[in-house]
Amino acid sequence: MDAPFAEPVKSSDPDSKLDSDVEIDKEELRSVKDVLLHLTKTAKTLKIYLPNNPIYQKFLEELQSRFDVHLQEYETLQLKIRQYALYYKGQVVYENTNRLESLAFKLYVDGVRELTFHEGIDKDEITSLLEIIGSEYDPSNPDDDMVTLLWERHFAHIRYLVASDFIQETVTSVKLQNEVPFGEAIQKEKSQIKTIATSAGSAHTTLQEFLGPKMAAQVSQIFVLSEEEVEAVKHQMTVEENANPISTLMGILSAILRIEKEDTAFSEMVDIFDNVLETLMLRGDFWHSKKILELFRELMNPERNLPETHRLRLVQSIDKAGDPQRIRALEQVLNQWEVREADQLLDFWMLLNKNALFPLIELLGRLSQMKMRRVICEALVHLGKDNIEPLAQKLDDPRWFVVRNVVYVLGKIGEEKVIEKFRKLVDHKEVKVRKELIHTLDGMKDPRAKELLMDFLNDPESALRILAIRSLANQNFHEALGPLNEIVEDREFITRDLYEKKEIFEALGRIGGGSVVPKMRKLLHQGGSAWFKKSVKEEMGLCAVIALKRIANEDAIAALREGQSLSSKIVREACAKALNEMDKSHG
Amino acid sequence: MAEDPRHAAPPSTRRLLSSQGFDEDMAKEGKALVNQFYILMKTAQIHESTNIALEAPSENVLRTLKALWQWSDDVHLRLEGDYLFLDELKLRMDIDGFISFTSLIEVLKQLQIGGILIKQSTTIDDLRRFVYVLVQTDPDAKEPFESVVEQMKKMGIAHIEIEPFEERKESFENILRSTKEVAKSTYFRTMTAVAEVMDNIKLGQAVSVKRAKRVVQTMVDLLLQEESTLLGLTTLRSHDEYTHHHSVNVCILSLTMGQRLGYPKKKLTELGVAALFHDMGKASISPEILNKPTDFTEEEWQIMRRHPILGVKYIIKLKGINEMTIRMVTGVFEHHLNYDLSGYPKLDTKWELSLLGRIISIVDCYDALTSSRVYNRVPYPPDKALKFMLNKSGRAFDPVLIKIFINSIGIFPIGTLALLTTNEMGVVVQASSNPERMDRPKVKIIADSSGNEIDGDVIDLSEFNEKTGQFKTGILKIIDSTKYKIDVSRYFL
Repeated sequence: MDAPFAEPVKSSDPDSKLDSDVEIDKEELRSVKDVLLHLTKTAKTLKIYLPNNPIYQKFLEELQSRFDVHLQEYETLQLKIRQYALYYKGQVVYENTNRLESLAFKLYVDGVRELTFHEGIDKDEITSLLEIIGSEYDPSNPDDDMVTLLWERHFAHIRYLVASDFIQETVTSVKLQNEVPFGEAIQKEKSQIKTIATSAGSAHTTLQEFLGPKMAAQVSQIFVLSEEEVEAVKHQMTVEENANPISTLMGILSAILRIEKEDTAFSEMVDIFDNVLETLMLRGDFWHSKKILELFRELMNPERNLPETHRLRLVQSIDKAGDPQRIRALEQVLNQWEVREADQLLDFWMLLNKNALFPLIELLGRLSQMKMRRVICEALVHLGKDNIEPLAQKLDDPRWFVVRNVVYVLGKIGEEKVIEKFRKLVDHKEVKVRKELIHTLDGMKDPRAKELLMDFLNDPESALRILAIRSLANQNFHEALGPLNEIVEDREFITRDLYEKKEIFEALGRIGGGSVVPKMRKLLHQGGSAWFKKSVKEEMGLCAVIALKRIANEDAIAALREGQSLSSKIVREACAKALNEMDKSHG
Repeated sequence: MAEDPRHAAPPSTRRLLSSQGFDEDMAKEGKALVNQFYILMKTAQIHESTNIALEAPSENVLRTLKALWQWSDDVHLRLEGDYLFLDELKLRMDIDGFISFTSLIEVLKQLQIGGILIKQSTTIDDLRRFVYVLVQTDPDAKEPFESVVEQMKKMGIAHIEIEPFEERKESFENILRSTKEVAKSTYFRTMTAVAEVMDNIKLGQAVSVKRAKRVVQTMVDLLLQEESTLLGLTTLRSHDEYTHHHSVNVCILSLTMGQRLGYPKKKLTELGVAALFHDMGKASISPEILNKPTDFTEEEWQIMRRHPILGVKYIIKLKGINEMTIRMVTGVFEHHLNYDLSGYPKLDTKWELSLLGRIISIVDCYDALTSSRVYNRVPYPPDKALKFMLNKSGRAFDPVLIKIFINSIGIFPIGTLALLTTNEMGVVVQASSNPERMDRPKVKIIADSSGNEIDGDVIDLSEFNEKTGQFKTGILKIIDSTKYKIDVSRYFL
């Protein structure tokens, strides 16, 4: 009978207990080999496919069916395990000497010497077994092996035998040399009892002696748990079951750090935090990483009067958290990270020291998720406030997205001296960079930013020209009037999109005000140069209406009224509509 | 048909227990069955058999039976000694099911029922009628078992069968004997595992607790089978290897408490490993201080008080972070804090002790008090140690967990030497499972009334003499074994 008991097996005698003298028919042997073939195949499949993959599921069902067929016929399947081979009733049924692949070796090396499958084995059990067989050595968890993992699963139909680590010599205890004879001990003890009780009922005195007479009478209350007590303990168990173990660890480490007074002890503790922080960062646990930095910052608060040596040690540790190597190692983590938890990440970055600036800029170029780069950008805005030079250097980066992000960061910092550094980007080949720059310049108050914006009036991309025009108009930048007029007068103007033309005239109206009314009136009447076709003239007239409507002073209104009697129906109607809308908005 | 793998044969003396002697899923359903059956009985004591109030509890019992019938055609609930078994599977009595277990055991004992066989054909009506027979049969009747059988016939309950209770005196001793070698081997392998880790710490080498985890898993299996065998080994003491013995003892005692709390096997392993290494921080403290026979100086106390913090540092440095590490760190850090945080290290923040820390704190203190750690210090006898600790309940120790601890080991714990009312001398080998009979454990007679050393029987002090209306035997006086240089551990080896 198979029992869950391990039997030490002598490794020097590999053929011991292999049941080699047991008779076995060919069909039975074939059936076992068939099961094992499917077992190894399915184990391999699990390495390639996820457990829910249909291909893996098909293999699994096939394996289950092979087990069922065999166990229904033969009841059990007991395998003896040797270094590279599995034996069934003394016959080799599996052999593989490749240590990396061999199922026998995997089991053997961890001490499993026998594996028995019983009828009734289900899919969950097979899956669990395959997971254990397939588990690779995990350096972060050196405390488990095949045996500990097998033990933790609730196998009802799989049994195994394990060779003991060593066989302990039988230990016996001998009497102490100076032991008092029992008879003497009994007599002495009896003599100390004032009234020797003769009946067993007096044994209650021992309880009284233990608890005192009063408490002994309430023994059930003292030792029997009340329902409330049971509930309280159960509640505590549930709370602990659901607690985050890392939070528990953080709590303990923080409590120790707070009470370590000596320099060496304190520094040792910070060293531990350094390592824990690194581990957490690499695991993508930025919530707990943030907690560590918050603790450091809290301890560094001047009100806490932390000794200077301790404070410096903490500064050093925060520096370490932001050093290039540490940050660079995050590339893989962040490329697989859930962006929805980005707030945690940002909070963490914000707590780093300024030394993290450059490594973070470097990291920016390695991240594949745009949203993740945005998070870093926000952190860089914070870290780069007094040190824009490293950021500015990245404006020459060959990766357009890096340049775009840096533009964003510099813009957010709002430092005026970066404007000059932006100049070289006006002709950047990537549209998205130029677009970002327009947005950035739009947000800057310095007039030089607007001057730079004017360079975009001739950008090859219509959308960007429009953005620039709108920005200049919004900020009523008078210096733009000349260039805008030049554009209108240019022969190429007619080739621009109607939408852009409207934006230009809107801008002319906003920036130029009354000064451009004569020009608009002229356009309204003549539609521009003489060589313009009728349709173009009408289009120019419509654009002039836009500008006049925007200007909306007396002269402009007069011009529009005049326009109502022009020969072009379209222009007439546009003037009427503009006046109508102006009336409504005023009254 | 294959033999049920759960029907494990008892281990031979040269075999080491390894995998599952315990089917957790089946045990869970078994526990549910006992709890629900108890509720049904309670309801039946209040309401008539036709009352609607019986519907839900009857359905619950049937539902659980259906789950159990998946494993086996018949559900066989047996009473053996003070334990309930489902077939051959011993059901764990933890705090959650304590009242239902003890109540059902009491009813079965009173009616002299040793087993209930519930067939798959059993209906909800059968269950109801059967429970009514149980609650209505007078336990003081001359032959209560026969009365129940007769009533069952009358009521036409055909799908449930009962069998008479048989006091099998040898069964407990058999289990002790059969598991002794495994327990001993496990105990010493655990000591080796502790020594190995401690040596690695001293050398500053990476620490793996794989070996320790494996032996703790074996301990868990043993405890689930019969905890007395391992508990008996906690009487082993050695001045030379105090720390190692102490570590293993704390592990065993913690597991006993964890089992009583109803921890699942995996959690028990974590608790066991954490308990095993709770004194890791002592690895770097010099033996001169650790084994100092006289009182510590203030400076030495300061060093000693550092060991929880040092332990935490070693673990994190040498093991890295994983769930097991965190359990270990918790045990190491909290085991001297005390329930009211009056212990050490002194914290300057709010702190909520974990159950794990509170458990280890209690058993650590108990084992330390009962150990002869230094040459000049006389250890407390187990009962005195418990009394000392009970006085500190609510301050140094969690009052509820202290109760659970005493419930687990009894007020006269295993290894206690006692003078009996028969003038014989005995050593406690198993605590009473009934908290109201804490003072009535099972005792092995080691000396007859004339003082001759004998290899006597194990007697149950809770046995009652029907004729005299008194207990057959009782404890007259607890004997301090160290006073007479009697090493009780030899009765457990």
